[in-house]
Amino acid sequence: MKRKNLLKTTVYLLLALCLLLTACSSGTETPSTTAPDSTDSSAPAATAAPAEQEGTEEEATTTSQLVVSPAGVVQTSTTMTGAPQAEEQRLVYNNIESSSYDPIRNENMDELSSHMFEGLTCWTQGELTMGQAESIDVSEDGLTYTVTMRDDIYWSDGEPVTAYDFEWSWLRHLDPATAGKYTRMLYPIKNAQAYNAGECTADEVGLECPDERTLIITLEAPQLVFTEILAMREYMPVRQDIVETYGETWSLDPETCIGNGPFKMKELIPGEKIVYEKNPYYYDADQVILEEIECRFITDPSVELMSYEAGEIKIATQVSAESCLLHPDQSYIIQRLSSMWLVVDCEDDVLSDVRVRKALAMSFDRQAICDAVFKGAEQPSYTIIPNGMKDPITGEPWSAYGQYFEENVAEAQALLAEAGYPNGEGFPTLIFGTSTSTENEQVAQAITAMWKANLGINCEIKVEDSASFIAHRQEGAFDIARWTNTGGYNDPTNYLAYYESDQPNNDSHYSNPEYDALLHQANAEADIPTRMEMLHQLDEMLITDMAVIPLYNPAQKYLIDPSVVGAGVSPAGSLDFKRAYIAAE
Amino acid sequence: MVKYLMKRILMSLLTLFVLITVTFVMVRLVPGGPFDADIAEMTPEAYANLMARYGIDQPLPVQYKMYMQNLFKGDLGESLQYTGVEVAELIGRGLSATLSLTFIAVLVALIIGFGLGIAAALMPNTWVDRLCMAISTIGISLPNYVVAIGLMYLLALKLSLLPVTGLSSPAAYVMPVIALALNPIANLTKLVKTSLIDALNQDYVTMAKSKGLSQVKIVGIHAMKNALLPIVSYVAPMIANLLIGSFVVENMFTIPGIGTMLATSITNRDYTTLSGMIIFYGAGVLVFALLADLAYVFIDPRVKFED
Amino acid sequence: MANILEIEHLKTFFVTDQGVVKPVRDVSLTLGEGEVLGIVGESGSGKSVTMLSVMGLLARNGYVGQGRVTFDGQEIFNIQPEGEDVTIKQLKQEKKAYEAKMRKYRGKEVGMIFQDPMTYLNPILTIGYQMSEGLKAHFKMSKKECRERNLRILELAGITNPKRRLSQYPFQLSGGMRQRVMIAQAISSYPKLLIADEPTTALDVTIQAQILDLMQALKNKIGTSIILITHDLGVVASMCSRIIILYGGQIMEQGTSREIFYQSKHPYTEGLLQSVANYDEEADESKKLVPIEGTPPDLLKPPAGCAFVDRCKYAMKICKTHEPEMRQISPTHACKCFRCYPEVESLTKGGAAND
Repeated sequence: MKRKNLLKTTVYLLLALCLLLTACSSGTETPSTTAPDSTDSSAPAATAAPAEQEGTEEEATTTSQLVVSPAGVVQTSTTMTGAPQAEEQRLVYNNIESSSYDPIRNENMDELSSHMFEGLTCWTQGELTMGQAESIDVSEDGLTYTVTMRDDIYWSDGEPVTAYDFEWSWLRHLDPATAGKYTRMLYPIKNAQAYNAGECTADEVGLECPDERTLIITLEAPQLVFTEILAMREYMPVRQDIVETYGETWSLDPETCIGNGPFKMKELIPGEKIVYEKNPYYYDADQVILEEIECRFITDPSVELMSYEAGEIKIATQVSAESCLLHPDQSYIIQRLSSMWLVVDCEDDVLSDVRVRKALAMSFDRQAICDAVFKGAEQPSYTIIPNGMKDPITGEPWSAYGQYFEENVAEAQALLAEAGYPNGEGFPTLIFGTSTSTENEQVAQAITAMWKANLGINCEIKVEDSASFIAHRQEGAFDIARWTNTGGYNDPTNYLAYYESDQPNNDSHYSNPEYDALLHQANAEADIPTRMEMLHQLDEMLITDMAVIPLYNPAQKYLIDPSVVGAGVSPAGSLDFKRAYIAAE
Repeated sequence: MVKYLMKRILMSLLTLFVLITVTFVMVRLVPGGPFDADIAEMTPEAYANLMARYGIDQPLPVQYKMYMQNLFKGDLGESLQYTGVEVAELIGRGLSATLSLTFIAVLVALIIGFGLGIAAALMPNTWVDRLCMAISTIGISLPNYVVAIGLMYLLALKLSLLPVTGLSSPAAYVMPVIALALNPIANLTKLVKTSLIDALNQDYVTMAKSKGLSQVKIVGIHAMKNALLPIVSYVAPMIANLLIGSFVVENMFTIPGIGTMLATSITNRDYTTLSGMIIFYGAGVLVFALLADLAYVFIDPRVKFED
Repeated sequence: MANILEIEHLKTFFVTDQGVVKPVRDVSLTLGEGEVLGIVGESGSGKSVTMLSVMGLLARNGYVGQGRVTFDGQEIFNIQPEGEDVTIKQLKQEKKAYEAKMRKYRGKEVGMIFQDPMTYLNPILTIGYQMSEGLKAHFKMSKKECRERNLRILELAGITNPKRRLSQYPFQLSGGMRQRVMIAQAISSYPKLLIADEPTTALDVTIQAQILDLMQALKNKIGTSIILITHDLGVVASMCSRIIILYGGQIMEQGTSREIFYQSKHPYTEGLLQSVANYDEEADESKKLVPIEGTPPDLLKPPAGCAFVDRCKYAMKICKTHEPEMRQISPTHACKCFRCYPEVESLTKGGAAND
């Protein structure tokens, strides 16, 4: 009998031990509560080191412990800048895989494609530089771009890159039969949209190749930052003969995945990893130091963290704020061109009153939520345009222009009372939609809790998986729903354009003829300062009408091993390794 | 026997057909289509082009007819997620990763499961028995993601004995195999033990002993053959399940197997891949059920084929 | 004529959750060459356990506590514990030793047949396989040799179509056929001793006689000694030269067949004879069967006195407190009852009252 009890106790202890191990090793716990004032309860946070002292454009906020940097070189206080190079120049890191490496089909970060392909312009260590193009001339009216290509550009099999390659690639992308998802990016080009809709032929699209080194692009309307757009993956060239011979799977085989970028594909094991090697034909090959790059496809953040801590990968990209706090001197956080906000159904009975919407927007504490859920890596925002959006001429961040509202609970309560619902009396329950992820759910809970506390308004939170959520949101199943956007380039129009009346993605159902008119005007304006002024006005209009409730700007977090020097990150959050190397330890 | 086999195969095909049809309808009823995740970035023209390319803009019965026609020709279609890649190829790719892992996991599960079960049955109420039952209890109670994380933390991170992810070296198989095999081992141990003890208590075992046969012959042939029936009932679906691949284990260890493929095809609403996977699973389960039934007949001559 | 089997004062017990059960409390017997010995008793009398103990086929929790057994001149075990305190561990070791010894004899010099051929034959192995097992293990016979021997034995056992039977399974044979197979299997090694534990109990009456005849015939052909265990007096009547009556783990009476049937002294034997349908007497209309009232004793707490006292018509006060000794009535006839004591006999002969 005694022996039986001893065995039972041992088994229970073992079980408890296993559970304890799991709790300690998992790095993704976010047990933060909904009430914003309570202190953090996650164990790893208690051991966090104080914030790093890097010079940044952003102010380190008083309550946060993580510091955010702009796009540029990815380095931390421990990065061995200036150290000599190691013998073996092989970088192993981790990112999410894509179903295809054809730049027009890649549905994730374009990074995995942008190692292998390069457009007319490109991002190098956070700066926009000339890529395959030697020079670009813009006409006075901003409608014609004349591109002169470099004369030393080659594909990874030695074939020369010509302007015809670009022309063919973009037309192929717009071809309805190709069914490209992101053709929208090419619509600035004249007749691109018409061609994509099958309403005209390819010849009518605004592209011309007088010779193999010249490409003339005609636009529909002047663009704010077309040169940035040219760096995007939708504008990267692919080889006509390869695509036509091998079909849509050409990018999944190293033999046929021929690109013009700094690296080329060496090996691909879908679901496991991709390996790149240096492209000897790249025009800047002598500046590229890395010989090989391996990118693994670990999806689970805990596993990725373990892999990083074990030294198997040198850069981790699916990092949570807690993991950053665990390794503060190896974490790097950039504020991406990305924004998170809530769409509010302006056609709903109660929400059609602007006072109600304003009350909702002003009555919760964004900073508190960011601190609690994101440990300060994310920054609160009072507009839907990402703060990192820079003015093309002055270089100022968007928010420097002005903030159109402030959080003020008393005023919010007054507005609500004025609208006829003092203390939320008689206010129906709102349906709040969000998609599955611990953080999204926590944010939803925090916001709704604050609304309840401050305004007496009840909400029902509906959490659904991505595909369902998006479908339901478009159908109008939610009164309030989460919306996120990640733009690839510095043009606020991306965000503002959503809220033109009758736009399919206008899930706020906002309809303001003045807004629409000003938007069209801005799109046709060639003078950049004037255009920017109009865009700011549109922003003000949107916020004054509170058609949307801004939340925060998401950040991209990395853990980077000190031996990785010179890696760059673009404003969209893509890593580039053109100048990177491994330092000798 | 041939008649029986023919009948079974026919029934299996019918079952598969119903399975495919039900999946076809159900997966399209779920809110959210295969391209809706990017809908905010797609223009209506792009969206229309995409739907047209895969025939999803057609009415449901038309889509169904097209799908079934292709199926009869042996064409599972193209994946909606992986542009240009055939579903058959996707399954083949995933299968090769999963198979090497599950094959070893099955072997390990069988060897250890039988080993522990036989040991426990032959030495009841000793420390051997208690140890085997303890292992069994732990294996049943711990979910495999807990086991996976625990092993990874201990063996890969703290002790640096094994690589964290992937199947690049023989050492890399150790953790995923343990995570996969633990639960089957636990169940099998219990089953073998009870089944064998049951058989050993039978009169024919006394008879066999009275003939002076060796312990090996008595346990191995007389008892074991009789004990096999309930074990086969468990092992056949166990193998089928392991073959199906565990999403959790594959996801944790970054193994590009078919378990992951099934889960992602659901999240991505990749209809064609999902249907293809369901067919594959359905067929697998049915094949193993048939094999199990055939095994019964060979083990126990009292079981006859129904006419 | 040497004795094939000698058992001296065998005591066997089982360790159970409820305590220690003593099914065999003192059994001694001898079996000569060519003899047929019958062991009669009801269920719980210890008749099967006695033979299982001797054969080394006791369950895990069963141990021989005391006794000496010799088989064919060889001593198998001699367990004589000193005093009351003997550890299970020691007994375990002894058990292991003698079981190993007996294993060499089992299936070779000693054959056993059991009550229910359906459960004692392995249902999923062929007849041929099961018959050949012992031959291969003990005599290293080849497949061909086994087959020859099996066919011969099956013929001997009166089984029709022996070739076909070899590849059949037990469930494909009738009850009587199966029992013949079991017998055939047991004698295929031409054993010196055949132990038959209730061989006819599971069969219907018409087959019973056939089986018994078969056993007799085989005995004559091969010259085996037989121990026939049963609860049925009718079965032992025809075959056995000597009979032992067991009750409560002890021998109540033993003697030749004639002595037991016509000159029984023990009340239990008397009761048994009365409770069996009498073949020899003329069928009187409505002759009642007189069963013995009561149930066998609890072997967890065996009685201090005579085991039969609670059910005995003639029970005396002393029977409850003292155990009677075995008294020889004739060289072959012995009885364990106070009434057999000459002193008491004279009293009862006089028809005096029980005192």
